[in-house]
Amino acid sequence: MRSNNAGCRFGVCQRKTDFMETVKLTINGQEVTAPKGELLIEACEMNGVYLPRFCHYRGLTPQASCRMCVVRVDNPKIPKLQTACTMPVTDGMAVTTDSQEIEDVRAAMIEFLLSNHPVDCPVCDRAGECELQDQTYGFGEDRTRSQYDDKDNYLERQISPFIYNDPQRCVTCKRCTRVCEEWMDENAITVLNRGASTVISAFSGWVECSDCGNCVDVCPTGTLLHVPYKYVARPWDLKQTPTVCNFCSDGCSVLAGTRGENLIRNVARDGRGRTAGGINHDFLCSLGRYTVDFVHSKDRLDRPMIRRGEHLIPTTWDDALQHVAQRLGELKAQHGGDSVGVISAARLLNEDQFTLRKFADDVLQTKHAEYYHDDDEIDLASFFRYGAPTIATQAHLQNADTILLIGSDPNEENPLTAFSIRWAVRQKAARLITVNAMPSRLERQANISLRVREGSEGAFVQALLDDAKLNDAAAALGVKAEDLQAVRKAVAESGRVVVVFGDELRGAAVEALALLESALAAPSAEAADAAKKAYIDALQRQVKSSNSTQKPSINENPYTYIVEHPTLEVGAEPVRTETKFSFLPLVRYSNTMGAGLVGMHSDDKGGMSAHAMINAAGGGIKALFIAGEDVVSKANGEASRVSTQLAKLDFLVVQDMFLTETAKLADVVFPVTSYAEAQGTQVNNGMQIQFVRRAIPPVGQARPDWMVVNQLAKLMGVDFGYQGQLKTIFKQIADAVPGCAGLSHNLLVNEGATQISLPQPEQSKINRADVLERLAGQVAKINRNVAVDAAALTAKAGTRLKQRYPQITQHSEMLTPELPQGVEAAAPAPLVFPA
Amino acid sequence: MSILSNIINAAKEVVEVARTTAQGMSVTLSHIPQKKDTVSYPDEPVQIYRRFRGEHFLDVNEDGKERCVSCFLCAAACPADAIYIEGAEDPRPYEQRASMDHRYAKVYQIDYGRCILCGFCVDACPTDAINHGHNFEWAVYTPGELVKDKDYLLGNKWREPDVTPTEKQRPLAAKQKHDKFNITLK
Ligand code: SF4
Ligand code: SF4
Ligand code: SF4
Ligand code: SF4
Ligand code: SF4
Ligand code: FES
Repeated sequence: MRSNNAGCRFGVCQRKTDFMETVKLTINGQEVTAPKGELLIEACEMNGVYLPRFCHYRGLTPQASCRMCVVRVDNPKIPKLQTACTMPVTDGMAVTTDSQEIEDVRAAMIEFLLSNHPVDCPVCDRAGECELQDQTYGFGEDRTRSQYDDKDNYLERQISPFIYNDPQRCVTCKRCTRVCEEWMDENAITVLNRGASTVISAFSGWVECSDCGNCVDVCPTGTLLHVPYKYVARPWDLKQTPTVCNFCSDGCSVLAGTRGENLIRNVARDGRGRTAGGINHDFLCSLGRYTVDFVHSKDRLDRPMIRRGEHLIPTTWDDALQHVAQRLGELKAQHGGDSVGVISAARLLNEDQFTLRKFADDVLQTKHAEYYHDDDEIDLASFFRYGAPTIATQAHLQNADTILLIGSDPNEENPLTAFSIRWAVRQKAARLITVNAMPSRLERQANISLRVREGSEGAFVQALLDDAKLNDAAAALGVKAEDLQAVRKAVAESGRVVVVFGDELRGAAVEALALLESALAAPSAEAADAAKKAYIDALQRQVKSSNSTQKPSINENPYTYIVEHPTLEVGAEPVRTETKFSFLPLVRYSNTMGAGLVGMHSDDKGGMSAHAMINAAGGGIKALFIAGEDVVSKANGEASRVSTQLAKLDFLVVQDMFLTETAKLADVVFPVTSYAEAQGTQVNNGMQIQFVRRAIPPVGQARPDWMVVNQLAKLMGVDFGYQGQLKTIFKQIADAVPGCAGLSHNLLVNEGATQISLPQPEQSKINRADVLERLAGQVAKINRNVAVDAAALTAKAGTRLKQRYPQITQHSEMLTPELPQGVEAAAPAPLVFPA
Repeated sequence: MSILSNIINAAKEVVEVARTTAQGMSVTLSHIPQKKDTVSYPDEPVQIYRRFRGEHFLDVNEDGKERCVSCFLCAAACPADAIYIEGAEDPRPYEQRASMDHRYAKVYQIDYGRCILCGFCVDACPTDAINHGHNFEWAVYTPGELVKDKDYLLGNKWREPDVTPTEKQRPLAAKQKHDKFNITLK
């Protein structure tokens, strides 16, 4: 018997199935096993029989519109050919997939699809990774019988700043519309017309959406194409390097497509179904996907610069390094090590952060070294005060029974988290509860959504912890007490609860999260299952009883199709945690977690925070070494004050990709690598450490951050013992940082995202009374007269991303795209069937 | 005795030399009036077979629009990795743009330091844009000069001996500043 885990034709499907209940079936006379409830098409693939398909896509609702996957089911005998993509496997099933009859049907289907297809592969960007091409080669005829030249002649057109559309190439598999609905909940594109005139289109003119580009990635043909990638390269010319995105803290893996020394595109999945194998499956957001052009921006620094009077002038690495080493040495000798501060950007990799910390400790001998973070960023210090509560990964999220979203808007700030939440709701009937001051699109999936007063989120934690204070908390939040009661009941009954929280929770409210475990104890497994079943039944009744005009408060039918077994993570078992509660802190930057983990903060050494260092400039701080952060642009509304502060310094060193506002004030500027050129590790919000691969060689004379600092240290007489190797740095990290022991680059390259396990909080150490008292104090301070006003908050929300990634927003043309000239006037007309 | 035999031998030798020289020269002289296989290149053009695979030219259609749609298939087929292309879009209408399709090659280079003149690229081209011409004159001073750009390759068409531009192609042909190739076709 063949193994259950045989690879598929493309070698991408390596899901393990050992932990699932299985059934036996016969495929082409060979007895195999497959997970119970699995779709036949997937079961075949697992057992090495590839069935052609267009509309089937793992994880999307079955569509059965292309009829490529037909098979003959011999037992139980079904008179007609069946679509394998809608048929669950049953015990004792017998199917034939390779008879003459089936081959003929497949060839006929291909011929049918091509009868209205332009076959303009030479000018189609999908060619080379086109599923229609591949399937035609594999299962179609090698010549056409069609003499029919009068094909539907829709013109190619651009339908959004990022999407290019050639309606004629569509095979109407509706993967794109399903992705847009199920993954993104945008419903931005739809099917228009009927029969041979069916096309995919926006509702009117331009597609108004979040520009995630996922519809383009999943499209099997060249109907939807990425505008920035248009005509630029061919897939067979691209070297595809799996690496990790550098923006939000979710840490999606991307396939970075490079041609020569240029980064051309980032995709989650290429047309051949290859993914980077990360935690994000085939998902990517617009930021990670479309901002690749900043890497080759003409504004990139390509040489070190040194100040001569008014001007920064280009110089050589040797001179710049010598100068910095000498000046820092002088200042240290004159004013002591603590007169120098080191600030790093939270997006720098662990190796960079670690080296900067070492530089501060061993070379400068200063206690002031910290990654830059704002005061209103998520309160990690409080969160980790008593130890590390169980941290949820995306997989935990996708397997949760209940998801509590407190604050933040993952749609905007952590798109993968938003995707996982939607996934859990739709595919696993998870119950979503949102507690938010700002409206969020996720409320559409929520079972209960509480729109609360701004700044009152802490009261919600209080309500969960203490039934007696519930009414008071409801008043503070500005919600009905019954609603709060319902939430409390739902959370208490649930088996696995993931709490996703943003920076709205502060201080005692964050500390109090560690108390949830004891306050709302986990129900027995049976009770939890019963509660879940009751929830699903209630949903079903609700859906049945609702008529079309009266929408239920939850997404119409969140479990249209509940996939019985797999988690989204390829190869992962459904995750169970020891504890009932797990937490996903939505930290701001790609490596905020890692920076803290490897020690790039001043807390335990009694040093100053990054802000304090800037404020002390000219006083206690005489020199600053700023790596990768534009502290001037980030200082919201206080830019001039921060620049004045920096001007007071005796010496300022900045290493960055661009000549930022901060770098313009520096005495020496070092050019450093972007994420596409750097190699190392980073830690996402789920405490998963991932390996970031170098996709292209450094632009200009840029060097990795760690290398610059290491060279400086050498000049200043300290050898970190790196031997010029990245691996050695990580070895030192693994030795020094708790939870990283036993990890190595080699391991991470093979294993992918690996969660770092940290010791749980010791319940005995937590001073319950104190935490609760402080929380009560926090709640008492909430001004209950302020109206719950979502609209005012929404207006503020739009500027958030700009503030977070100033460099990218300034240097990526794609993020603020310009539509082609004259396009505004001629928005694409809806493609309606010609009269 | 010995002196006499020496003289006789010397005389024999003279006769022998004269005979062989005459014999050799008779062959040489007999060829002078005959038709010659060599040409006195470069004073005279070389005659070349039509199917000779020489330096490529990039073709234009009857309207003078570049045929290449930058599909990269030639580059994919090339066993020597001699072709480098960068694609681009020209959204103007057919009449105004230089190319047949919206998609055209912004950069098209062939490196004759690498090319082995195998003709795979010509076979691969779906639009018959790339063709072998008959030029073989490549002597250059630096290897870099062996990399020929798009304008040069487009111009090669008009340097072929038997190409007559159509009405619409004439301005293009007129712009070509290099001389015709020093060849005739067999
Ligand atoms: S969609 Fe595929 S088959 Fe159609 S033109 Fe593009 S590459 Fe060719
Ligand atoms: S880009 Fe994303 S949001 Fe926009 S239409 Fe495509 S799938 Fe929908
Ligand atoms: S546009 Fe692409 S994904 Fe959408 S229906 Fe057409 S072929 Fe399928
Ligand atoms: S003739 Fe052969 S070697 Fe030369 S460019 Fe064409 S394919 Fe390459
Ligand atoms: S010359 Fe032909 S094969 Fe090469 S890119 Fe142009 S059209 Fe394609
Ligand atoms: S894959 Fe089954 S009908 Fe399309």
